[in-house]
Amino acid sequence: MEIEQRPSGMPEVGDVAWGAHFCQFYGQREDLIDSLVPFFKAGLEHNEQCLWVTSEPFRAADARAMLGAAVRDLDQRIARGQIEIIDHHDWYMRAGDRTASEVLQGWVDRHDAALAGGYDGLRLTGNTYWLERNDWAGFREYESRVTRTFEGKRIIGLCSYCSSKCQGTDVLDVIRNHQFALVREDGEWQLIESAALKEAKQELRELNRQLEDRVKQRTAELEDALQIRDQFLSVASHELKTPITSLQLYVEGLLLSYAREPVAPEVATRRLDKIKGQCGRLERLINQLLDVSRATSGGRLPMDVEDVDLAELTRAACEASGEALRRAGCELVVDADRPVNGSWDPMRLEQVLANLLNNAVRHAPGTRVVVEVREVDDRAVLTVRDGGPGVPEGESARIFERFVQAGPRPDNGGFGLGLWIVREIAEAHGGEATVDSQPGSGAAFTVSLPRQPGS
Amino acid sequence: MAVARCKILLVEDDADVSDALAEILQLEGYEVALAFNGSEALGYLRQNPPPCVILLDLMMPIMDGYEFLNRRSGVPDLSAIPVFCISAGTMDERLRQLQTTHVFKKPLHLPTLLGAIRLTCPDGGTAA
Repeated sequence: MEIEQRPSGMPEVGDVAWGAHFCQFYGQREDLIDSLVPFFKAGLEHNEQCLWVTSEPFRAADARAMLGAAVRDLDQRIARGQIEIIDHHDWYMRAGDRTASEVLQGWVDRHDAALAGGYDGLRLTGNTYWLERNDWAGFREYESRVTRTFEGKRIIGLCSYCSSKCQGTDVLDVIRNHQFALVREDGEWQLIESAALKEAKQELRELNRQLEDRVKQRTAELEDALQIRDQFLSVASHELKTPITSLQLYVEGLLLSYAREPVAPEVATRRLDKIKGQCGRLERLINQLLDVSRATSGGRLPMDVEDVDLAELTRAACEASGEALRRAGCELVVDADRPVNGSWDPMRLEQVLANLLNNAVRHAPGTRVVVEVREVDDRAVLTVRDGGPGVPEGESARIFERFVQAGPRPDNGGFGLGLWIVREIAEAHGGEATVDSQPGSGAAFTVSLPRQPGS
Repeated sequence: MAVARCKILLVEDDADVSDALAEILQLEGYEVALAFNGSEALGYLRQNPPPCVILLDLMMPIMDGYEFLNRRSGVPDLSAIPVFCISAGTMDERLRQLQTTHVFKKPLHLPTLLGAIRLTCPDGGTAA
């Protein structure tokens, strides 16, 4: 929220916020002229309605003359009611015996009327010269309520106190009851802030600094997120276009062949099988994107749990990925002879294995890949260990994040979703996915699952 | 006397794209040599007579198309061979900088690609 600042007209004070209630200690008439005249000039020039209650030694007639010298169209402004300059005697006559509450309500009514009349707010001043010693306690009580009354209103109030009429403790009371005070010293206005205001300002500066830090941090985070998104879009475009390209080429090849001569059924079947394979590849990519979209919108991956032997499932998955591993020059060792049964979603676990093996193909070609299934403390533990370059230091947590492709080559293919999906699936089963790696000496990915969900 | 068929070196890491494109090029009468990354392509070029055209994918593991183009530019024999790039990536700065090279975007518009190859090898493929 931005607090609207208004010019006070006094260079020592600068801008003040709506609701400002401050005071001045003056010594002589000139002090009032060189503070109140610019104070009201600023108010008039900024479309505020003004009320100036004067007192000795600077009466209403003086005030009108001095302000008239600074504001050329003062008479018109008085005529149309933008400013009222009135001696406290007359004001007092009008106010009569009103209680503090009634006087305060009077300010609020006047403020409301100013806004209704199209003014930006209300600016006012009162001189306490007339205040007698025995009125002091009541007036002090009234002043203490003014700040609270002005809060949230478009009012700026300046109270003038004659220095010679204030005793030592009076000054303290006055300063306490205002947000800040001005004191005339050696012909200059000096600003005195109350401890509370000083503290508040200090707090505000500190909050401001923290806010700026947070904005900077948030901006950096957003920039990172945008960069990751752009990278992802580029990778996604590549990943989706590749199967579409081969799909299109297989179809065009088939059409070209047909245009030349009838194609033998076994040749046609072989090509149609390849076309089917590309459709499956596209479907898998699109399902990956749907998984992200589901998980990002706060949902868990949908699970279809049944009794599964993880060892058997692992052997089958290794066989399915065997060709890809062979082509990458990987030696595959499967250690999953003993059944490890539990309640899991078999399709999702196949996805876990396919992603971990695919990860080895991409990041650890030409190395030995060992897949193990064990039962440890009533949990099923699946480990895929490769002999690749390992995970760069400090990246172990990051590689499980969405769209992150760790390792020296950013263009290894894939959405950068493989390990993220592995972790999502593990967590959806109540388990966890971790990596143990030393840079340069391979990586071991472990998925640990409770045998029953929720156990 | 047998006419020597025009040879194309296809550098593409995706086995399916490579397989399907090679089949079409063969149908069009070209001889096709395959490489699965930039490094394999350089190896092939060192050991074989130069092909008429190189079809080069840009995003590949081990050595990508950009790196291959860098290495090629330093070798006069190699830089004489026309290269057509094929890319599934978005139009990024690196792609824009390949001013001197034709870039065909995936999915490929086959008539345009085949037309360009035919123009480059006028005595090109004799339909099989």
